Amino acid sequence: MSYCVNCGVELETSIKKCPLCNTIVINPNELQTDTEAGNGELPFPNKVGIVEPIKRKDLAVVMTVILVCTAISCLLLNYLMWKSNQWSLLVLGFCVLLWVMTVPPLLIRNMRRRIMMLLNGVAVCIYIALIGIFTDSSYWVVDLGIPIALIVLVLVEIFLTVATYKKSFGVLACLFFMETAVLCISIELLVDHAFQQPLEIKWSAIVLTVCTVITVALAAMFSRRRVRNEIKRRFHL
Amino acid sequence: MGISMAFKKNREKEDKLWYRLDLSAIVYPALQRQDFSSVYRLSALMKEKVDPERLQVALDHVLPRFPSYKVAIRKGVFWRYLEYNQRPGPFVQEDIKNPCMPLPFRTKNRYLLRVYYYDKRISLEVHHCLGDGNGGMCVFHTLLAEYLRLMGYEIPTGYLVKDIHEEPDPEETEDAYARYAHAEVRPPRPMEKTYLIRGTPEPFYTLNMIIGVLSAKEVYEKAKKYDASVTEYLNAVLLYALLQKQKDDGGYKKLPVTLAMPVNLRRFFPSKTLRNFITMVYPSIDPRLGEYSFEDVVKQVHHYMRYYISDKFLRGDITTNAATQRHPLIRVVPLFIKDKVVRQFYKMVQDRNSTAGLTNMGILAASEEMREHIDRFDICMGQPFSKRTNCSIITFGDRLSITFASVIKESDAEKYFFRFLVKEGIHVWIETNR
Ligand SMILES: [Zn+2]
Repeated sequence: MSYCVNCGVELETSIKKCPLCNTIVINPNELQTDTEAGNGELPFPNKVGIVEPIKRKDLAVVMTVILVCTAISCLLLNYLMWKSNQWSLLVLGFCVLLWVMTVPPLLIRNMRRRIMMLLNGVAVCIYIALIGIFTDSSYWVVDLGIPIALIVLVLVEIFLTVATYKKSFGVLACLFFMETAVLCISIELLVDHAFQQPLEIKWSAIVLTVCTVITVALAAMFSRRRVRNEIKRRFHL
Repeated sequence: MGISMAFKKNREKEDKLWYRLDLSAIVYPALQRQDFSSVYRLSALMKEKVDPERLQVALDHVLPRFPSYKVAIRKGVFWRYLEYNQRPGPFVQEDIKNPCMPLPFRTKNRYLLRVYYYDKRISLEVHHCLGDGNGGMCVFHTLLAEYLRLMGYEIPTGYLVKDIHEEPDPEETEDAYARYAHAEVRPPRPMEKTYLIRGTPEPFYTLNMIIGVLSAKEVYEKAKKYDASVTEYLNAVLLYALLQKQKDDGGYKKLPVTLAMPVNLRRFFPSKTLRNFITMVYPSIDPRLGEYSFEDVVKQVHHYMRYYISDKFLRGDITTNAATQRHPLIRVVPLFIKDKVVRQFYKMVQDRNSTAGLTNMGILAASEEMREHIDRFDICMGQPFSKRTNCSIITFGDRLSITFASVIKESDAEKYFFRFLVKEGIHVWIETNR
């Protein structure tokens, strides 16, 4: 039987620390032999209950079956009826791409976002390369396709990272418009480079202007309350 | 042949069985989040170690008797509804450190209740959309009685124990609000900004419980000294503790301190319903009016309760609540929009007009045979929606058990509450899952 010296309440025998005031339970007679308190049976087990995840396996299976069926039927059609070229490879590639994008997050709970992004990026790049090989036009794959895919990947990753740490809608909206501008500029520069023209910003300059105006307006709108509060604090009577 | 026909007929009947959500139950699923469910817990501390296998058998025997508890919740286009659940389960499980954890609707074969056992304790956790604590307690007592029978004791029906072989009374599954919410006026809801506790939130999957066990006789004697009932007295103690907490916070702006207390409407409007039939009253103290002594607080709470808790005022209150649900234009709004509105309203208004929750289920009546095997009951209102503390009180025999549940690290309100009782000369015994 022990009492909290601060609160005067009697504590259950397994309690080592008063839950009301965090005072440690010590019996002065037993200081040498460590405390007698905290030896009783715990009133609650130590096991923490975790909510059972909702079953998403079924959806993953359905998804897989649909994609596999599509791919196989296209392959069969290609090799049995329309044998003109290997168009079914493109469909097959697309099915694989869809599968990579949708099924792993359904199967693996708490999948790391970065790993997922990397996987998607690799899948998209491979698919672009596949189109390049298929159409016998590999120059644009290296000059345009893969660089644009990588830029989009990086921009989306930046957006998601900011979104996880900063939940403010205003910040995210500003970021979205800035990223749109950056994407347009890089596309124009890459196109210029691919067609061996002088690097110039033309149409993307318009996008940049519009996005900048929107961003500034948004920033002003969302920061106004903060500014107002600041003024109120500084000048309050 | 005959048996299989009867079985088939039964099965067909069960297939057709569904319930509208009652007035209170509409709110709880709308508040459902990944890290929050409105789940409450009823626990009984037995005198012997619990046998989980017999408990499971007892649960399987008892649950079909309560068709409105053997259900799953489903979404319609305009409203949610409860549907009879024929899947296997629910299954008893070993207790956990974090009671009242979220209960996602689609897991555990879609059952909306859980039964836990640990050492000598049996606990029933129920999602609030099935029914309030009084209804749940009836299911719980029937379960305990059946369990004790399987352990070889003779337990009669009566009090809260239902006969599991009789057909359920249709009145047990009725929406009693619909029957009684017919006042001719709709009094406005009182809404006022109140003091809110600030604290450090605990990580997900934590529910801090502090259980204080007192002698019911000691508390009753003390309350009588102030000319108050036990509920009024404990309400006053909590209000006083929260006033002290607000003073300690040292904010420059004082706000009224308010408790949200559910009232069991069955006391005023006869109904056997096992579903929700409660409404909230809000005893409150405004420190901006001046310094309140404890005697002042008790007096105010006492008069507030006597004045407001009457069948007339309560009928007005539930009519106001029912009016929104009955409005034809509101009825045709799709469910997902209703959910958004309800959640927003709860967050901005309902959750902010009380500092803490307090419920007192009063003295539990039980047969002599049941008393012999049960030491104590605890109830827990469950995880609070925001950073506050919920206080739930129940009396069984001479054991008055007070459970505080919160999701913040600080336990100042609890500290002031129990220290005050100790100062009043009441012996307090504390148990915790911290
Ligand atoms: Zn203490």
